[in-house]
Amino acid sequence: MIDASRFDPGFLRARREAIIILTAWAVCLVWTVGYCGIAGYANDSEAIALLFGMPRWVVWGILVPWIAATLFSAWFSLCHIAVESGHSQSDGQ
Amino acid sequence: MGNNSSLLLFVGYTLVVLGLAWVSHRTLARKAFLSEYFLGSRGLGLVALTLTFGATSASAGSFAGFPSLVYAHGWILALWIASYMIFPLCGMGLLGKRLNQVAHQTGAITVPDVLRERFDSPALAIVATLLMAGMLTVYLIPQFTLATLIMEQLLGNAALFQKAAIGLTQLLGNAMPGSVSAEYTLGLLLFAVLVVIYTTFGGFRAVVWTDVLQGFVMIVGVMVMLVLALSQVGGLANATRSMNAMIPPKVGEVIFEADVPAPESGYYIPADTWFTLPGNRLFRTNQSAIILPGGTSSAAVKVVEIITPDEIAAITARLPETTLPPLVHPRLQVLTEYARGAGQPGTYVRAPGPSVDNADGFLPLGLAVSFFAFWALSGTGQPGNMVRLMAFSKTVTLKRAIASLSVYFALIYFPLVIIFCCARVLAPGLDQTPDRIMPVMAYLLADGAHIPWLAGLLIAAPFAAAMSTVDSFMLMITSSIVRDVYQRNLRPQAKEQTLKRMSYMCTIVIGVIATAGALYPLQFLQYLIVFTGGGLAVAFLGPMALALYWPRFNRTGALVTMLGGFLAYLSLYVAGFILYGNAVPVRPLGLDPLIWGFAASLLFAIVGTLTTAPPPERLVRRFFYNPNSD
Repeated sequence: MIDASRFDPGFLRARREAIIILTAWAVCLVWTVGYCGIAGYANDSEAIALLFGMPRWVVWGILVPWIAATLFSAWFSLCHIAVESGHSQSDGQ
Repeated sequence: MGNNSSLLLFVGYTLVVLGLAWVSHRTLARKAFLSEYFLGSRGLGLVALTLTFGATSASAGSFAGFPSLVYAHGWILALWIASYMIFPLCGMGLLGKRLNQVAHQTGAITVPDVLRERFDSPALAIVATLLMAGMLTVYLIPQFTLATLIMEQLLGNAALFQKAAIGLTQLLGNAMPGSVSAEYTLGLLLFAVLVVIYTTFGGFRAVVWTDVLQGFVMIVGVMVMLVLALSQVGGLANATRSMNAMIPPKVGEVIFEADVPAPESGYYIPADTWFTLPGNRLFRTNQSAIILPGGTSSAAVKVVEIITPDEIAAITARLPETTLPPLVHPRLQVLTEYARGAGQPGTYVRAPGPSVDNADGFLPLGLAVSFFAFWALSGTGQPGNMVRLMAFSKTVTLKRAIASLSVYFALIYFPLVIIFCCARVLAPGLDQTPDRIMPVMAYLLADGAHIPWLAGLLIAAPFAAAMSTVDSFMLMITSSIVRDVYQRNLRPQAKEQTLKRMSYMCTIVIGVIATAGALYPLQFLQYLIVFTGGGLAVAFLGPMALALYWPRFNRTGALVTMLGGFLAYLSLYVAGFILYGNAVPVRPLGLDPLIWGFAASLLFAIVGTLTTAPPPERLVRRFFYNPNSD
């Protein structure tokens, strides 16, 4: 039987971080494909709304989440991922 | 760039790369061979880890295939590539810390090594080795081909290179492969010799150092191109408005006919020649055409008809009256409209983007979901990336590398979309050969800025991308054979000198095989890259992620996860080949085979694991329990 109470805290922290990363990927997917699905795939008008020289759907559906994802990645990695120590070194010879 | 400046640039670059290999070789002599040769003694720092991960992930496809897709389909490519926004976090953060811990703990230096230790299963390690070595070897061939095509563009105009190509033709005589040009053969040999030398003698450390150099070349190339493209197109808003007015062109073939037999010199109509036909119709050839001496017509060549009225007016205003030789006339053969977007303005700035052959457009919504999974998850599952995650020594390096790579990729991929949207406006009419758009833009932007030598530097970016992928994959195949097959199964007591000689020989042999394969270029290069990349991800992501995070996961589960996912993925490609007769896979519900491969992988993992005995207590204790609890 696997005894969950004996799990290494380092393993549990890494697993929690992996779950947060997968959630972040899913949020990006829903935001990007969801928004672009609604705004980018609509072909009803000849005029295209521009923002910063790009189609508006690209800015809100891709550029803004890209900036948000980059900031989140930097914050999460620098401030949230726990530093683990105590690797037992071996060189594989 | 009709002089030797690009050749000088290339020679300088080569000397730097070989210098790095030499320094690395000296380091290698002072350390334990296997760990140093295949993993750089696990000593990657922040810059090295960031740029080696980034450069290995960005293959030639990122700088040759991706720009051609942006050019051909417009702004929709921003959505196609969008999951790179989260790829650094997924690719490094999902597995990085745990994989590095387990690799340190067990002394593993290859991906199959980790699986062997985690499941105490030599059989699983051998299956993983065979899958990895086989797929990576196939993957190497199109990378060699693409790198050679880029090298042809880089050096093709250099007088010394042309003389050397002629010399090679005379030297090889009938042994010269008939399917490729002398320039291609020479470029391939130069590339192969360079990459084999520095990979063989420098090992992992040389590969990482050259990755760092190549990573800098890539970012500088993209930034310079971005500034030049935006200034020459008159601003991004101007480019997008012009694209909004564009109607997809018609594509087809044309034959050139002469009124009288051609003279002794024949008639030569270069690629990219503009010509007009009555009714204000404007065309551009995408291939060169030749009417042989005494002949009156050429073979059929690819041609594009510009449809957008504003473009026709702007281009004809700056064209001479005719650009064809006198007495030569075009005769149109076939002319096809786009399956999606024909006659419609605005398709280049809206989803799903225009398509020549798909009525649903370039990126239907189902495929957009697939590609969001593809780049982030497929990249995470690449053994080449996993190895890099085994090679750093402190978690803090990983933390900073994730942050740095996120910024690096944001500065590479989104700007590439902008640059090649501008290319649609600056270099119209290349829709039948869009693969050439990267070098065409490099020369166009450098000429526009009156800095001709800059083109060589800009084309060096995709060359660096191809090189950095090839070197790391060659080393991985060698490590699989020497470490996982030879040392772990055949000769556990092999001496270091023997392992060293075997490693050198293996790397050279792999280089020779890839070179021989690239001498006879295959069709469907891009499909082959996508297929092998996806196959590796399906085979390795599930087993590795579950091995690291699911204590109940056992060796049977790992084996069926690896093989089940891969076979499901492969079967959709085979079905596509049978049904459609080409390399396009079957996509149930519009989703890419990669998604189905991952789904099958997960299903096999759950069923295979829960229906068989749990893993031995000693393995669970070793990899998951607190070492202080007992």
